[in-house]
Amino acid sequence: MTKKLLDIKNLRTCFYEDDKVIAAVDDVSLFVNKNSVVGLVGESGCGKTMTALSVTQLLPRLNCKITSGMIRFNDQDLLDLDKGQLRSIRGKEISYIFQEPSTCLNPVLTVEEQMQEVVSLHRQEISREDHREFIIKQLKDAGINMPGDKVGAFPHQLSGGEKQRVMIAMAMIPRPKLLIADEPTTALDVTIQAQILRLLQDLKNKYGMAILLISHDFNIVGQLADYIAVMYAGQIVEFSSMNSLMNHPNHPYTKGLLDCLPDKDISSGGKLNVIEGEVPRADSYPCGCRFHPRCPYVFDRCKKEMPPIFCLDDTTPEVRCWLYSNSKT
Amino acid sequence: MALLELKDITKFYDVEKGIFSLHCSQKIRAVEAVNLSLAPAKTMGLVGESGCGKSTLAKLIVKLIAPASGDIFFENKNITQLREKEFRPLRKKIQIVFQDPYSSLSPRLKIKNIIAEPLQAFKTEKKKIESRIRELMEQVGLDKMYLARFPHQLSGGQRQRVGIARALATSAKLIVLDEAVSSLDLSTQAQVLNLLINLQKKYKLTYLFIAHNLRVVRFISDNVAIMYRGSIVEKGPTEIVYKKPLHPYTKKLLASQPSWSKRNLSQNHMPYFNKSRTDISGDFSGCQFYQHCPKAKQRCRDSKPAFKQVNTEHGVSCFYID
Repeated sequence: MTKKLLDIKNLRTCFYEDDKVIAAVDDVSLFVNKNSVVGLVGESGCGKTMTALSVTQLLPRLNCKITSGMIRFNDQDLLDLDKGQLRSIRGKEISYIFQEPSTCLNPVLTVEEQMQEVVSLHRQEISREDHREFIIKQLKDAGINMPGDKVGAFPHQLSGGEKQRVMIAMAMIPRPKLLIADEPTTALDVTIQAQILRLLQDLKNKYGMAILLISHDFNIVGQLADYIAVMYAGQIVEFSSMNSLMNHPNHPYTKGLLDCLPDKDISSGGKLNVIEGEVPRADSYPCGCRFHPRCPYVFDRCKKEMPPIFCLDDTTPEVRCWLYSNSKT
Repeated sequence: MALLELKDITKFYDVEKGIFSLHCSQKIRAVEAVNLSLAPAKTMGLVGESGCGKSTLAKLIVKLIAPASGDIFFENKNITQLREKEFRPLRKKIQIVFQDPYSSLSPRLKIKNIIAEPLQAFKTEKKKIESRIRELMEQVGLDKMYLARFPHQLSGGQRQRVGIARALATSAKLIVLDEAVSSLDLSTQAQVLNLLINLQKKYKLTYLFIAHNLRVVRFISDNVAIMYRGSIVEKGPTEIVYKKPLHPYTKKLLASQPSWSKRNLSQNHMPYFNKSRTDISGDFSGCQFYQHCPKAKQRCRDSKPAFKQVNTEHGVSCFYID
């Protein structure tokens, strides 16, 4: 039995606009081991969310499609399943929490009503009379103060942190094997953010689930992740264990991003290192390596050929950069 | 000598309850008795969580709203009660850059018209406007080809540069940066921060830098003020406040910032939720942080601690500092 819970291989997800095809996710491969946290980091528009939505196939229905690749979850390919089979996995074995808790909760239902929906769908062994007690326990698990009073509340009566906790409590109801957390703390204040991160960590240990943590902030991902995937322009440019990435980032983009962090003991008036230029738009990616116009180490080959993924060690780090072309692909 | 000084500034907002109950409006203290002084050519960082009154303070300074009480001095002149006409020449010198460059630039104006607007408002000669715009574009590091474009054709970082160029147009002395880099991506954020530092050195600008990202504030600010529920609870030179915070709230804030290189949040000292004291009533007059403070005593409940200076630079409002 493999240790890999989720294994994405060469995933490609495209948008169809007029007569153009835009690959929002292009040749993405990554894996999430059981009971581990993988951080997916990148700047806005790089395809983090689209990658996550591809896993559960919650993509916009009209103009977006997974065109190739493989998504193995628990040794079955999610792309081969029909809708019914997929529904038994989505929301049950793979749960999702989103960035903005206030837009994800139904404003006209109380906390109890919306949580009950999930309980009756996914926890049929719990009898109707025990629902309330179970929901209160879930809320308590998610660190809600005085859960007995809060079950009857409407979302607008809760603070931002409480709403996110309700979202987490709801996501935990089916005891998922994988939790996809898409920027779970971005909308929250820094003190609340710290609490939510700790909560995720504890829930992970308690229920032995894996987390795919999506964020634009290295500092947040660094708190939880065992592995980190760095995304740029629809591709993963580096996939590596947390330790190795922290001590030795390989891809020029990863190095550049880590240098941009106003983190070290800098005296004010000093200067930050920057990555020159702008993130390219999805409809006008440069040919060759997508990072080459901004890369300080650029050479001829980068401008002409797209680098494949090179493996620096047995499994990771994986780096998409010609600088490592003498390693195996 | 301070460029801008706020003395006991207070601002209330009326909150009307219900649709028909116009007469029973409730007052919310957005900013309460704030004293702040900005030294010329320095950066003052203002930190606090959402809803603590940071942006209200920014709007008060640029006189977009009027305070309920207190005085604002700009270059030693009391500007609180000035009428719009008298204040106009000063408005040139006090400018603001907003958080969201998407909504603070008119989508129907070209970049050159956006930057020209403040110049036209202050009746700059037509001939000079053109050359001034080009100069400004160069200062903020934007290519001239963007002049004829619309905001939606620019990226977030470029748009924020336009916002900065517009603030600089009238040779401002004080620029209020209200979460000016918060919506930018990491690599772009670093570029804009460097730009702000360069401009400050070159033109001796004074910044009030409002942000919730503690690292960014530490990077750019000379002095920092920590705000909590409408009051400033601690202020002082940035490095001193960050290394030796005195107020329990500042300590909590600094302990909560996640670090890339260290797993500092998974330790046991961070509680799951704010254990809050509930023994307070509506007309509570004690310390604002009483409910969440680990050190609070009876005294904190009964009276509000005054803001006191620990030394000439560093001040805090707390009864029990060690």
